[in-house]
Amino acid sequence: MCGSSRFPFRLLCCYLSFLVVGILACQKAKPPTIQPAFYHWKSRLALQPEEQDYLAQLAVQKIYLRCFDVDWDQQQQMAIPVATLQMDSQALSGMQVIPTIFITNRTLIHLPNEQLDRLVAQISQKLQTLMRTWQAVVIPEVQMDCDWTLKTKAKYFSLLTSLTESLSPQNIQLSATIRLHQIKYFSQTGVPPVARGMLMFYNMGNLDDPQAYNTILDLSIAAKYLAPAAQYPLPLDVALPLFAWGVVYRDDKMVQLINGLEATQLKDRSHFLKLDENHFKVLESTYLNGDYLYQEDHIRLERVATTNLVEAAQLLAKHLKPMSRTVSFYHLDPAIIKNYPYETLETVCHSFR
Amino acid sequence: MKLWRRYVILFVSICCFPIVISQACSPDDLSFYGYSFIQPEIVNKATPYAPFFLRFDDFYQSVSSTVVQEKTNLEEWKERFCALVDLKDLRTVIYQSSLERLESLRLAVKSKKTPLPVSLQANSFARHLKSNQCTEVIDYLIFAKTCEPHVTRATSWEQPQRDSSAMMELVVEGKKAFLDTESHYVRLRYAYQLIRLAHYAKAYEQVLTLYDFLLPKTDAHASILDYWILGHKAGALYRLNRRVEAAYLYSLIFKHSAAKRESAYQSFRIRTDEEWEQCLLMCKSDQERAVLYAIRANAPLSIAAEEMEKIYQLDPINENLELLLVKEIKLLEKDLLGLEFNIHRQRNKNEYQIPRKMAGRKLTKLQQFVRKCNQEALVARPEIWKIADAYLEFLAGDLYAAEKTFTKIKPEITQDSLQSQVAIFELCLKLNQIDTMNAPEEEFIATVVRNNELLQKYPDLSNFLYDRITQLYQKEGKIGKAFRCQYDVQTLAYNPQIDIIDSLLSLSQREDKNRFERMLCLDAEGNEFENFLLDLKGTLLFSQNQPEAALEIFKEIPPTERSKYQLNPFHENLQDCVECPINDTLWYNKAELIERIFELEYQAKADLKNGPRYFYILGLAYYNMSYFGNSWKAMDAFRSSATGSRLRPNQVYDLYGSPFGNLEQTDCSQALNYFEKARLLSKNPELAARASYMAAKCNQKMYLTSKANNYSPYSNRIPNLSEEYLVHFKILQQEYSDTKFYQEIIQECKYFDAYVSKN
Repeated sequence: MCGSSRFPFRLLCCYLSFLVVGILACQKAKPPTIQPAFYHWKSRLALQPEEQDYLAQLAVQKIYLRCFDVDWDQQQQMAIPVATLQMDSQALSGMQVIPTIFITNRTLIHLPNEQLDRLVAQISQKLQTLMRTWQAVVIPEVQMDCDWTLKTKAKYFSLLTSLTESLSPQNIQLSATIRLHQIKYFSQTGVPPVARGMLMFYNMGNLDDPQAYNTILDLSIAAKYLAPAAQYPLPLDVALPLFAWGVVYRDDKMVQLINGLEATQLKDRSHFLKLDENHFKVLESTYLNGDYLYQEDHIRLERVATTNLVEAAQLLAKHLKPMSRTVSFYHLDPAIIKNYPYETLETVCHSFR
Repeated sequence: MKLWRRYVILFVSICCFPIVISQACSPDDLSFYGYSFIQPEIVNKATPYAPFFLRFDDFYQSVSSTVVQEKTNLEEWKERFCALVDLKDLRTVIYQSSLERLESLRLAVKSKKTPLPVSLQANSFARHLKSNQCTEVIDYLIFAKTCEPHVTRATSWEQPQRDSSAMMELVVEGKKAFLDTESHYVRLRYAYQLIRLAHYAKAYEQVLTLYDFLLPKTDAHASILDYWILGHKAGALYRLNRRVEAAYLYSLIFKHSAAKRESAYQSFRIRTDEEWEQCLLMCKSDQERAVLYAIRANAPLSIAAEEMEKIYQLDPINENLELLLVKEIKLLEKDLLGLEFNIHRQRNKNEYQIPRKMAGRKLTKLQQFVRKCNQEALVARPEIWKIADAYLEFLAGDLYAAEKTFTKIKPEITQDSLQSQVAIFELCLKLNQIDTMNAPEEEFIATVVRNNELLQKYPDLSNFLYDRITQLYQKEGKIGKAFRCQYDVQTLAYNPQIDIIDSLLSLSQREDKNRFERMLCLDAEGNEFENFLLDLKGTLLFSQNQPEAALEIFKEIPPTERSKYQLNPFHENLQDCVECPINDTLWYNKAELIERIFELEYQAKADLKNGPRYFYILGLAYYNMSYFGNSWKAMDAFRSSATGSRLRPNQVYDLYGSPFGNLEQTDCSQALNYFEKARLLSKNPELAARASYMAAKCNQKMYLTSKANNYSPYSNRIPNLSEEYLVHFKILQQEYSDTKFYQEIIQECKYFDAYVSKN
């Protein structure tokens, strides 16, 4: 009796177990979530309607907002904030905002160790003051941006550790930007002590080289650096470039970067000679967008083609650990986004899924 | 007399001899290395732009504009009070007093009966205000203090808390006070406060209105405030998108206001050629137009020659021309001066891209311009341009033309600073013209390097001179002298070079040395170095297994000087300890040491009974004289413990300050050879066990210096010896395990214990 009553129960258990295992086995792995985002890298935030529309079309809910830079003041012999963001506090209402702070490497070179704690306190204080003025935004994270070197690594990492401590009571995590070379040589350059890294997938070539092809995005160079990306110990988000610039060379020395420069601005044949699609020579000294160019200067135009952007995403997807991540585009500006249909950026984000 | 000469030589050699080592900042000092002889003194120091353009260290001492602003402000207050008040007291009242203290001061100023606040009773400015009942000034100071929180901040990290409506209320209040004030100077100060408040409150139109309303109602003498006010007007114009007007005003501020020059330069913005043309049209004179070009020329990588042409056309006597000339020459000096003998030219090229690719073309262009200025003789001070012409010929490599030009212009140069500028240029020219280094040339060099005043005045002269003659000596194969021109003789200790040692020995042993050669033959402490070189050479030969030759060299050292090293390598040290003291009273100098070795070698072969013991002692000596022993100084002049972690056979290790790196004497083969002989010949198992153990140690050291070595001294493991390096450990284990020594050493030597356990 007992035996007969127990048998169906065992059978039932077996059946249910198979069912559960079967369901789990048949269920497709949930695709990673890719969250599109933008960097805002200007000192004044007042979103234009076309920017707002663009963000809405792409369902962007996250903005990395450059709040201020930290630079070394030679005269005062101290680290100071530079170009603090001015913004309409309503502009980003309802969005996730990641305050981002760029600190120059020279600040870390000059900063005495005993001033490090004070700098951390100053950065935190300034951030708090800024964040208090923002209305109806969510601040899950703060990001530090610095192209640290071996010489400044220890100081920078110590600053990151202290900042993490100061932000944790508010449940704000700290992230840091990571350059490509810091991925390839992470055992030497170190891994910053933060919750996440943001891989800056741009500025790859040597700007000082007049013969360089495209220093913003060169996938042949990038490929050489990405091999160890899957082993990188931090979860990585990705920043992709959406900008263009003109690189000005004088006597073969890079003297100026002109943001957003396009060939249409170099149409004046009395001043500029087109050497090829991307290269121009200055025939007569002239002002261009507020920069004075001298006769014989050379200009190389660099921009990121939409096809390159998609290829860059595919290359990254191949090398990074599959996981949910943010794909942030650098940077939000009406003159820039007009060159990139939002569908292209959707395709880019899709490449990571 | 001889002693006196020696002191002079000593002094000179200490002060001005090879500075490469002493002046380097740090092991990774990779700063630009070059020479410059153009002096800031040649431009008029009174020229207001000098600090801005030249940034020579003595002109521009990183004084912040805030400091300059405060200083000039206080000086003007002082001047307006007929210099009757003290600057320090002015600062106390104006910058350091609270609103409450100023209110107390007002009470005291208004009422004869009320005394000055205690803290201001000795203050000359406060007393002056009280005795003259300057209520307008004190009212103004109170108003300015009230404005302060809106327009200043204590530190760069503070976010300015600006309340626009409160600021505009202050503007209204101040305007009334302005109209009630009789003193035109105080009115001007009110005008400044009001216009600044409106600017910072972002009421840009209001700034212009206030400017037009207030300024005509002030009739003060020219003041620094004129340009401070103008700065706020320019700022407002810029915000109102009237960029050209703003740029023009900034150019005026740049021209006239030292305190605001830097910020005016930063704020000066022109976007298009049209704006530039409009700005030129706004200028009221060619002098003002010339300033626009001067601002443009100041951009870090501007083509100054192009701008200089424009300035010259507009205003040939413009003071900026000289400054730009000097700035350009300094750049060309970096490119071209001493390029062919600069010892760091490769680093300059790799790290700094200097010389610039177009340096030659820039030089030609500047030469053309300078010659034009000289021909037309319209510039303010033609002498500078003539000197520049000659110096540019020198930089262009035309030494003959440069010499001729210098000779021609010299009588025309009357100003002291210019004469000394010509003198140093001529000296550099002369140094460049030397093509062989013989006694007369060396005499000339000796005269120059003894001129301490000259070397101090021109800090690059020493490097220039020694780098130049190094090149000449190298060309002539005088390698010892070439070496000495760059390095102290002690540097040879790191990795002794026999050809340099021989060259310097033959120089130091010559009787007929000239003055410069005598200086070359002194070390950094002013001592003659012949004995040092003999010791170095003997040590080198000994380490190269040439003991007989080494002995002969050591014997050349006077007996009284031979005892610098007191050595005794014949001790048995079962544990390595390089620095451990030796408990003995018997010491050998290096000559005696070699003689003792010869004696032992003879006894080892001749005395059949005790031979094995003598071989063992010889083995000990050679082991102790290697890098691993406490008598390493017998075979090496320098030992770095840092090398221990990266030893390789015959490897030269990088060492900062040493041109030839550092070579360590790590060879244990001779020691091993003697230990093997001792073991094989010995009939005493205890001695044979000892010899085996020491041979095993040699084996271990040979492994550590082999390419096969993958041992990290920072790990917790012991070196993992391959079979070929375990031979003697195995012999000791297999053949002598029943000896007393074996039992002792297995207790004492953990390595050995580990090897035994492993096998």
